[in-house]
Amino acid sequence: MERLGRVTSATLDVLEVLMGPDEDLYGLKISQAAGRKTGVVYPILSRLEDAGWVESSWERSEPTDRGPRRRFYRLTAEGVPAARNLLLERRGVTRQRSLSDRRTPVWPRLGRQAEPHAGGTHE
Amino acid sequence: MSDWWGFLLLGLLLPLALNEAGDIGGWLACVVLTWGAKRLGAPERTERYTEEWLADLERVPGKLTKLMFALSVVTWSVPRLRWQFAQRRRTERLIAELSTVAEQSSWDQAACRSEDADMWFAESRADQVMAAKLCGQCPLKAQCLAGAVARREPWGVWGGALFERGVALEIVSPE
Repeated sequence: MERLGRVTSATLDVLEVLMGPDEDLYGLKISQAAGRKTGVVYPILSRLEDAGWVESSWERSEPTDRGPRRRFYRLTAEGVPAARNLLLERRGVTRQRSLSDRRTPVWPRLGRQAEPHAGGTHE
Repeated sequence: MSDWWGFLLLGLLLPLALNEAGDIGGWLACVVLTWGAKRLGAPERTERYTEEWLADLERVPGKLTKLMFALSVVTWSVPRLRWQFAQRRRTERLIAELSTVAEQSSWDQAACRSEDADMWFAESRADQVMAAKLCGQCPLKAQCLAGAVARREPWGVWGGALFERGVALEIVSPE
């Protein structure tokens, strides 16, 4: 597993989502949960995957299913502790500052955004 | 009469036109994403990203939002992924070049480099034995022998062994 180079706050947001309990995470869902532009998320995932932090696999679909398969992302066994350390190191400070900025802290924001989306996927 | 025209325009034609525009939006999103995936500068990844993006597109509600999704991917993801893949290719090429240089420099220490190389492909028994004995002091002897076996060398002395038609016939001991 490689060290990441420059880690942006968008990357940290993506890692926070990946640390979450949700299992079937695909690009669009991750971007919504992270509150980031969709277009920003795919390159981040690609970089994390290349560095061995994240692995991805195709959605298992029935042979009868038509249409494109989603690509699911999850942290690798090595990626989990690495992400936890990185988030602790970087977000410990940021979270305190974001509270004083009147910005909502990260975890409640995630929860709130993930819910309406989860409803949306069952349409 | 103008009310009737207003109704026709606002109540019927405008929604129809918007609906059409929406349908085109969904279709256009597919076209834009497929186009973008072909412009990653990495043909081996085009298929993967086309499928991944089109699958995610299906989960985007609405029709014009689909188009926004596609435009977001094309403006943000495509250039960055393209840069990433190019960077990776450059790194791989550099590593390959470095390992070639390292390999070449170590092969320069081979015993057969300092002597007349023809001796290792000599016809006469005496020359063959002489070459094989020189192999005895070569730091790359084992590596050379393993390589020759793997390549099934057709002819010559490799790693202290005489090869013929891909087989090591005889390992000459350096006494």
